[in-house]
Amino acid sequence: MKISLTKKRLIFVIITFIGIGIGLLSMWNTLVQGQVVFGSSDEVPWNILIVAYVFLALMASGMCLVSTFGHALGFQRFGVISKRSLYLAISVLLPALLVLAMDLGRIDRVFYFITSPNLTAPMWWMGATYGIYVIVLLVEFFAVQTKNHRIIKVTSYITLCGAIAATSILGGIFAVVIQRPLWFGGATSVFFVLSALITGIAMLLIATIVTYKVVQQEMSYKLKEVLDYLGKALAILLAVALGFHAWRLITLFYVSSADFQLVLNGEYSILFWGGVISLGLIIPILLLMKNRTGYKLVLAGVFVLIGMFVDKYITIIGGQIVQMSGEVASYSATLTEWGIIIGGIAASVFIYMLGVYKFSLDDPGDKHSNVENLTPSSQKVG
Amino acid sequence: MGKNYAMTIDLHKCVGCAACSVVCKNENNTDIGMNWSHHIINVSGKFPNVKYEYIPTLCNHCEDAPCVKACPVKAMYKDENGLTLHDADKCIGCKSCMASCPYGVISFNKKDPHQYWTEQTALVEGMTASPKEVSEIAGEKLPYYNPEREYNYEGMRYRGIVEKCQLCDHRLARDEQPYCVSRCPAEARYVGDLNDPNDPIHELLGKYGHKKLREDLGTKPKVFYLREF
Repeated sequence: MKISLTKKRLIFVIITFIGIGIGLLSMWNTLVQGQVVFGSSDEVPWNILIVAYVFLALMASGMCLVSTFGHALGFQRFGVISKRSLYLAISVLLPALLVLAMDLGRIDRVFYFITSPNLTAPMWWMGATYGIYVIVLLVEFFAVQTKNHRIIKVTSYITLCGAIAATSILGGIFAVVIQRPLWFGGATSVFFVLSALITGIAMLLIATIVTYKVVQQEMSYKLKEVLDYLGKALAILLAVALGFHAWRLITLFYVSSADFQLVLNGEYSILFWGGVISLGLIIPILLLMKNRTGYKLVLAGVFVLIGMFVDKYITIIGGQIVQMSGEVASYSATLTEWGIIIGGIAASVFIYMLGVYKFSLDDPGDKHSNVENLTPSSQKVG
Repeated sequence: MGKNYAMTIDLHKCVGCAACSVVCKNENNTDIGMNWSHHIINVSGKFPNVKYEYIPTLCNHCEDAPCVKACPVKAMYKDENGLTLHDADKCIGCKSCMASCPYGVISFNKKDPHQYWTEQTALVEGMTASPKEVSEIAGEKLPYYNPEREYNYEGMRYRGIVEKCQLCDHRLARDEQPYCVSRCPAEARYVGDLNDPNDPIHELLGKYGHKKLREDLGTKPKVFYLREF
């Protein structure tokens, strides 16, 4: 597919480059001045970069999982979206890892991950799994590009396991910290996998629909059908997430910790009830209930992404601010932190645009499958 | 068998003067705002029935230290004497230890410490030397600091890594008490070996009731607070 660079598209590309520029400047600022440019402190050691990394890494894992529906699990219906999904996962994950790296005090010493591994540390396992996972993802995409079906099959099984392992280990970093009620417990890891699917599907819906709009192409019937399925699946997953939140609140109610008060009716209550629960879960569920048009899917997707980001913010930052002494510390993100995040997101958008331009992310067999020659599937669910 | 160091702090003797915090800074060259030896102040009740608690805090050198488990590169480790120590040369600055420490006693170096000595303005222009000049003439990055700390740890830690109380392991290595212990005017502190049945620490622990911070977490902290009010 040849895409010409019209004036409108050029403006979009320029905005992306400005975003990347802001990111590079912020990174330079961090590397020169050190982490004095961050809002984190000894009381709140992990800042919004960690929030953004978790959010983006989960998103990538979610999209990787969707790509394996077609590649590994044999849901052929999802084949039309596998390649785009896989490429999106790569384009989100690579900048996300860069965002994380900026929060390391001594990035030059990361080789100690190999020479001095600590197998009891979830952080080490996260590094190891993400390291392998990224490489296999790249190999899988290369195989898809060269149409090597054997390698696609093998690598997609590995990335399926990798996505779930990496995501739940990422949750494990938080889940093992017993003194932080918003973090502790195996449910955190499980919720991270659920969050990954939710954010991944939401992003995939937005990216696919917006891309077709921008390149002014008509979607095939198969693709429309898959997007509709994904919208329905998203609604179900959101309902599960709602249940998870309910149970988390109920268990915290019995513990009655200061952290719980922050979420229920304290500092984070507006963000939680407004951002996470209403905007991020209930409104998208209502939007996705029926008549899932492209516009509604994108709108619901955007709300879900905002809600999930705020959710990770409350979990990670809110989980740290209550101190042992009972004092509540404060944290606010600095411009440099936001700059790095904007740069990361812009880089993802840029890598994705490059993919749309260079690699033809549509399923090649999808071109001719119009509604006329498609028999209604007996496998249709629901 | 190695030693198993533990500290007792007698809260009846402690007067809350914070000398421990001040001398710790002298001994370990910590920067402004960074306190290996710190304190919690709890004020509760309503006048005239007010309760004021001053609880000195430091690394608890937990037997089951969460920071040691959480560090991905083994920069936090348990030594043969039961101390929880930090290896400045290995630390990658990921802050996992800080997030996992229940006591909040690990600090991160956001910048190189003691930047006062890079300032170029003199206190009295034309009369006194600027900090930078002093530093240059002395040929040291930091002219006034305690070089003893360099015996087995980075003398002054640098940007991008964490740091925490090492229980003055350089002093313990030559059978001296940690500096906060030896300089406490009320003699409230003592560091002893739990593995040595003849060590006075057993007498202290046997004689007085004692508690530890957040024992419920199962970290087995080794700072014992004697005689609570």
